[in-house]
Amino acid sequence: MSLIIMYDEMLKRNGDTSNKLYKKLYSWLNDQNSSILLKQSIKAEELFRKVGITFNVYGNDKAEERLIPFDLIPRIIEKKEWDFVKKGIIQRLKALNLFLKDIYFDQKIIKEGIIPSKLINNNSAFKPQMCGFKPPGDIYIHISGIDLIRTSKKNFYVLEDNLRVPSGSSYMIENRSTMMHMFPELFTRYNVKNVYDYPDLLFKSLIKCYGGHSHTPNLAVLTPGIFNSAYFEHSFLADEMGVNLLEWRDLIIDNNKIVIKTTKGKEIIDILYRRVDDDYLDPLTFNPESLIGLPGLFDVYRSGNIMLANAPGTGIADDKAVYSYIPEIIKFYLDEKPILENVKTWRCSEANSLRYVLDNLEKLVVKEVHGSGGYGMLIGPTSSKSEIKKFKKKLILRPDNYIAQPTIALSTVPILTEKGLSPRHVDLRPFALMSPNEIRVTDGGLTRVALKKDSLLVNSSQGGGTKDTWIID
Amino acid sequence: MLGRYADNLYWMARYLERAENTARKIQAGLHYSITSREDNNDLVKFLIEEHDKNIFKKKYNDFSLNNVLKFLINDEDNENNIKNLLQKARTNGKIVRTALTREVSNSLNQSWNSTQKLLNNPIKINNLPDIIEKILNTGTVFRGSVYGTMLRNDTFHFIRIGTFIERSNNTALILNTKYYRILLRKTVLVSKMDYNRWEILLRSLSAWRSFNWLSGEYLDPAAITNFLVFDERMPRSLSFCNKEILSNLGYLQKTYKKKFKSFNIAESTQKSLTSGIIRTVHNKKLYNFISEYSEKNEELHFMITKEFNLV
Repeated sequence: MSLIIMYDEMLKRNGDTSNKLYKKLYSWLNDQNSSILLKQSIKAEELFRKVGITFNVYGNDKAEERLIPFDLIPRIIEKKEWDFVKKGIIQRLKALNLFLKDIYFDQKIIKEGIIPSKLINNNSAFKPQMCGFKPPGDIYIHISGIDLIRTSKKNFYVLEDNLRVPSGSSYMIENRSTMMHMFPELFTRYNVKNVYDYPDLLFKSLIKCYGGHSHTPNLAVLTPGIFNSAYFEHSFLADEMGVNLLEWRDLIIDNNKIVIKTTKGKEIIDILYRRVDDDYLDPLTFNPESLIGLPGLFDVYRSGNIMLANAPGTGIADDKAVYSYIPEIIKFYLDEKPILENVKTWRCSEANSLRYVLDNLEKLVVKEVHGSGGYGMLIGPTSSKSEIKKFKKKLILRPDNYIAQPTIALSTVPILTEKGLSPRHVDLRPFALMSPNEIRVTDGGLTRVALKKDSLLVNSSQGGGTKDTWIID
Repeated sequence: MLGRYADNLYWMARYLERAENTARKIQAGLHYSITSREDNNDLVKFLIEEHDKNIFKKKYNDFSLNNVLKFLINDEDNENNIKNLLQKARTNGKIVRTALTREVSNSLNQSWNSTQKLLNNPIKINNLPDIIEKILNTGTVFRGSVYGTMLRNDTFHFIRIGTFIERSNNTALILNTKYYRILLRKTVLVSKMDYNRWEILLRSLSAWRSFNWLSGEYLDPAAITNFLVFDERMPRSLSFCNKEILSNLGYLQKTYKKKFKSFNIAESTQKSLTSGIIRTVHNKKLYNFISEYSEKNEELHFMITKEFNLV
C-alpha cells in the first residue's frame, strides 16, 4: 500500500473522470463492451508480433524475444501544457550543449567554482579524448530522450536527461500505428498531434548538423547487431529514413575515410547515427578491452571525415551527479531560471547528504550514478529491512557511486485490466533533435507504465509497458 | 546496396525455398506411403539426400516414417531440417528488414509465429498435413508479397536470384541422384513401381497435375524429362529457373551500368537449355547434361558472391 497521494490524469477517486481532456474518451470507453476491448488488447499484441516489434532481454537466452506490453488506454496531454514542457526541454538542452562545449574546451564552469572539478574530470563518462575537438556545427547532443514525470496538473519534473543513445522513438510511432489501426473512430473525435514525422525530422536534423559540404552526405545507422535489445528500433529508423543499417563488420577505414562495400563497389559514409556506447566505438581510443568497435574510427572522427551522432562524451551531461547541478548550469550559461523542475537530489559524495540519506533510506530512492534501466537501485518504501541493510553497506563503501531522491508520487493513468480501468504509475519520454539553429521536441513521446499495481518501475526490463501519448489541440 | 544485405537477401530466399522443397518432398512421400504397399525403405531413399544419409544412419536404427520425418523436420543434427531453414531465413530477413517491405517481413514473422509451436514439439503424423500446408503457404505468401509489393530494384533481384538458384539446384538434384536411372530404363513397359516413383517425382516438384494436364494419363519418361528440363511453362524446370536468373542479372547489369561475368554464365546455360529437346530416354547424355548444369549453377553462385561483394 502506497502512502503517497497521487495524481491520476484521468480519473477522480469515485471513478468518474475529472479531466475535461478525457471526457470524450471516457464516454467512448463506456460505450464499449469491455470483453471486446480486452480482445482488442490481444489483437494489439498479435499486431506487434507480426511486425516483429520485440526486444531482447539481457541475461536471457539470446533467442528470447519479448514484446513490450502495450496498453490500449491513451494518455492525453493538452497542447498548451505541452508547449510549456517543450520550452523547458529546449532550455535545458541548450544549456547542456553549451556545458559540453565548455567542459571539453575551457572548463569555465569549473574555474568559476560552480561545479567541482572532481565531478567532471574523475568521471568515467567524461571523455578527455574529446577535449579541444569541435564537433560539426558545435552540436554534441543531436538526439536526446528526456524522462519526465508529473505530480500534479501543473507540475512536470525532469527525472533524467538521456543524452547518450536513448531508445523508444520507434515504440512511440508503432504505438500510434497500432491505436490508429484498432480505433480509427477515436481519432475522429480528437485532434491528435502527429508523431510520424520523427524519422524524417531526424534525417533532416542530422544533415543540417553536417553542413558546409558541397555533396549530399551519406547517412547510416550503426547497430551492434540483431541480438541488441533495441535492434528493432535501429532497423525501424534506418528503414524510415531510407538509409543503410550497418554493423561493425561493414565498416572499413580507407584513406582516412569510413567506407562500406556495396554491391556496386565501395561507398563513403559521412554521418553515422551510432546506436553504440562510447566505450565500444574504438578500442584504440576508448576501451582497449572491447572486442567490438572499429580501431581508428576516432582518428577519422577527429580529422572531420565522419560525423558521429551523438558526439562521444555526452554522457557526462546526463550523469546522475551532474544532474543535481542543472539549475546552476542553466543559470551559468543562459542566465535563466529553469522552466522545468529537477527532482531534489542528494549527492552521496557529500558528507552531509550521505548522513541524511543513510538515516532516511526507507523513504528514498537511491540510484547508481551510471546506472540505467532500473538496475542497481533501491526503492526505500517498497524494500525489506534486509534489502535496506545490504544497500547501506554498498553505500558506505562507495558513496561517490550514488545519488538519492525522494520517492515521488508519479502521476497515474488507468490501464485496462480484466476488472476494468485501474490506475498505474507512468513517466514520459519525449525525444528532442538538435541542429545548429533549432531544437525540436516531438509532439508526444513514449509513455512508460508500471503494469504492477503501485509499482514505480516503468522500465521495460522491469516489467513496464507502454501507452500511446496524445498531445491534443 | 551493402554487399552484406545482398547476401542476406539471397540466402533468405534460398533457405526459404529449400524449406519449401523439403516440405514438398515430405508431402509427396507421405502421399506415397499412404497409398502404396511397398517397403518404406524406398521412401527413405527418396526423401533423404545422399550426403545426409550417413548422419541419419548414425543416429537412427531403422527407416521408419517417424524417424525420417523427425530427421527432416526438426532434428538438430540435420543442419537442413525445416525448422532450422525457416529460422535461418527469418534471421537473414530480420537483418535486412530495412530492405524489405512490411508485407514481406510480416510474411516471414507470421510464418515463424504460426509454425514455431508445431516445429518445437515432436512431430506427429496427424499434424503433418497442417505443418506442410503452413510451410508451403509461407513460401507462397513470401513470394507473393515480394512480387506484389517490392520495388523492382536490386533488393528484388537478389531475392529472385536466390529463389531460382536454389530451386533449379533442387530440380537438378532430384533428377540426377534419384531419377536418371528409372528415366533411362530401356524397358518399354512401365512397371507399377516405376509409375509410382514418377508420381512422387512429379508431386515433389508440384508438377503432377500440370504434367497430367499437359500430356494426359500417359507417363512417358522422355516427356517427363523434357517437361522438367526444357519446358518454360513449368515453374520448376531448369529452363524456367535459369531464365529468371538471367533476367534478374540482366536488370542488375542495367541498374549498375556494368557488365558481369555472372550474366555470361547464366546466358551460356540458357543457350544449352533452349537448344535441345531430348527425343529419346535412351540418351545417356541426360546424366552428364544435368551434372554439367549443376556445376554451372554452382559456378554461378560463386561468381555472384564474388562480383557483388556478398560475404
